[in-house]
Amino acid sequence: MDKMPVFVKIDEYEDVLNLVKNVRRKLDEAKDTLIKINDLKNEEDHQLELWQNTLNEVEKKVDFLDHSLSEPEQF
Amino acid sequence: MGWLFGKKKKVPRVPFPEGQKIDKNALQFSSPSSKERIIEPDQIKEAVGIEKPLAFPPPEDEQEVQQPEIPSLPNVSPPDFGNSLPRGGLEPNIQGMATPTINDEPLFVKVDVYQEILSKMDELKSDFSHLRHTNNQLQQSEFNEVNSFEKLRKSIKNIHDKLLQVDKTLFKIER
Repeated sequence: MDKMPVFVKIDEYEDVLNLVKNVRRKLDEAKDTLIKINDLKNEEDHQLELWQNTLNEVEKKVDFLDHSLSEPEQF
Repeated sequence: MGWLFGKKKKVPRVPFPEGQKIDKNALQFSSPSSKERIIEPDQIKEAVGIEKPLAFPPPEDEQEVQQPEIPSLPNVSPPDFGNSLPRGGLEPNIQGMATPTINDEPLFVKVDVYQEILSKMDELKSDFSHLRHTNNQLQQSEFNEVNSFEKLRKSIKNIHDKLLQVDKTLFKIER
C-alpha cells in the first residue's frame, strides 16, 4: 500500500501571513539601519585617520622642539 | 335538451386560472420529480460542513423567479404548467452551487513541509540568539569607544595646555 500524504491543519493562516509581512518590513528597516551604521563607521574611520596624521605631525614638532632646546649646538 | 344546453352555457363562467399569478411554490408543486433535482444550500452546507452561508449570484435567483411568468398563460391545464417548468433552467443554478467561492477554508500543509518550517524556525531562533550576543558585544565595544574618545580628548587638551605653557616660557619678555 502506498504511503498516503499526511496534512497538518494551519489555523489563523491570515494572521501568519500578516506576521511574515511585518517581519519582512522589519528586516528591510534593519538593513537600512545597518547601511547607515556602516556609513557612520566609515566616516568615523576617516576621522580617526585624520586624528592619527595630526598627532604624528604634532609629535614630530614636539620632537623638534625638544631636540632644539636640549641640544642647541647641533643646530 | 334545453335544460342540458342551459347548463352547458354556465360552464364557461367558472374562473380559469388565467388571471392568477403563478408563484414559485405553485410551480414546484406541479412537478414532484423536480424536487429531487433541486439541491438546497442547506443540504450543501450539511454535506460540506460549512456553517457560513454560500454566496450565490442574485441575478440567477431573479431569473429563476421570473421564468415561470414567461410561459404562455392561455394553456390553462395543469400539465401545461408542468411542461413550462424550466428543468434545464435549474441546471445552471446547480452548477453554480457546486463551485462556490469560499474564502475561509481550512488550510492544510503536508507534514514534510511542516517539519521543514519547524526546522527553519529553530534555525531562526539560533540566529537571533547569535545576533543578541553580537549586539551585546557591540554595545560593550561602543561603550569602550566612548571612554577611549573621552580619554583622547583629555590628553589632547592636556598637551595643548602644556604647549601653551612652553610657548609662554620661551617667548616671555623680561624687562
